[in-house]
Amino acid sequence: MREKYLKSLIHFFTLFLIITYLHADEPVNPIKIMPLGDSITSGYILSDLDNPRPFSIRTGYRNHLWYILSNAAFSADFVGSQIAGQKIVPPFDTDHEGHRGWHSNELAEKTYEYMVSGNPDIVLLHIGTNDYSSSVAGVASILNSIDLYEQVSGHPIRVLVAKIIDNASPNGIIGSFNKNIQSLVTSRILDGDNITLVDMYRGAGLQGSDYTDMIHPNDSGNYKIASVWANVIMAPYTHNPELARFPTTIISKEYIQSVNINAVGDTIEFITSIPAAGITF
Amino acid sequence: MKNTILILAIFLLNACGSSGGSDGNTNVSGITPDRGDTSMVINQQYVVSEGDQIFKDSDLAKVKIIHSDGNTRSTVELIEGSATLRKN
Repeated sequence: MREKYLKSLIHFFTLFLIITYLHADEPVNPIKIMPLGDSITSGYILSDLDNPRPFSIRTGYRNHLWYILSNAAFSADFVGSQIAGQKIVPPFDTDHEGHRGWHSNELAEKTYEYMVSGNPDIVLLHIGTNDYSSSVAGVASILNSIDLYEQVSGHPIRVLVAKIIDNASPNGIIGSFNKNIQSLVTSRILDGDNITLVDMYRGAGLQGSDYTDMIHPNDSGNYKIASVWANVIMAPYTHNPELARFPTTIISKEYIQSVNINAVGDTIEFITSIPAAGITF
Repeated sequence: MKNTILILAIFLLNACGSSGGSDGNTNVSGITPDRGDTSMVINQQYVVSEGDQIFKDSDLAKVKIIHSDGNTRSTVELIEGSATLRKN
């Protein structure tokens, strides 16, 4: 009985210390987040071609992401060479690296430069809508450039790679592209890359009514995309290379179809076919 | 000062500890079959340890494997086709 009382007292005191710690007035370094991609990141829509709106009111998903993170007291600093959305209320951090009309190979050519100038902690990569191809070679090049920057700078970057949203009318090429994105990311995770696959394709739940034109989301669609990004960003995931390598300790990479590391980074879940020789644990 | 508070909090949390103890396999769930061969049932989770094996009984056989950091056991679930679990 006395021991129970003592433990309760220690728990209470510990809780008090933690609360004191969380409210200590030392500044918290914001996490530098780079929204990287095309018009879905920048906020351009097809009607801007004939009647261009000012850049100051273009947002994509970025304003909603900022609001969600801010409301959760998550300290973020959006980074990038582009600025758009300055006149939006409530105000948000308008820096980004979204380039309308770009396909993945164009973005790959500039990725290293963007990493140097932005030095992000997290990259949100949503690219491929303009590729009109199921090839993910451009995305692989982007990831290679990020890896190179990490090696040269010594600065680790957590890359969140999206299975991209579909068009307003389902587009088979995007479905094939996303399957290849999943394979690419799975392979790189197994090789120890700090990447997380983010399912915007089905996970964001965009319906026809969430689009402002054939390609681009409207405000409700952008909110859905932002919500998915925010959940992954705020998950206290810490990359564990040893855990990420576990699948390949029991089975060859080519049999593994998908890999997912849970939010707190302590459990890996993967789906695999079984080779003729079986799987030995 | 802030770091001192944090270190003290961590120390106290460790001091409290869990009286239940842990064998490092706390996240593993599912049935543990007897030694020998077991035909796997779709959507049923099985606990496997080092040395256990899975063989496919159909070409389509596909499994989901869940492994927790630091565990010596994993969970296996047949999600498609047919397969046999050999428990050693």
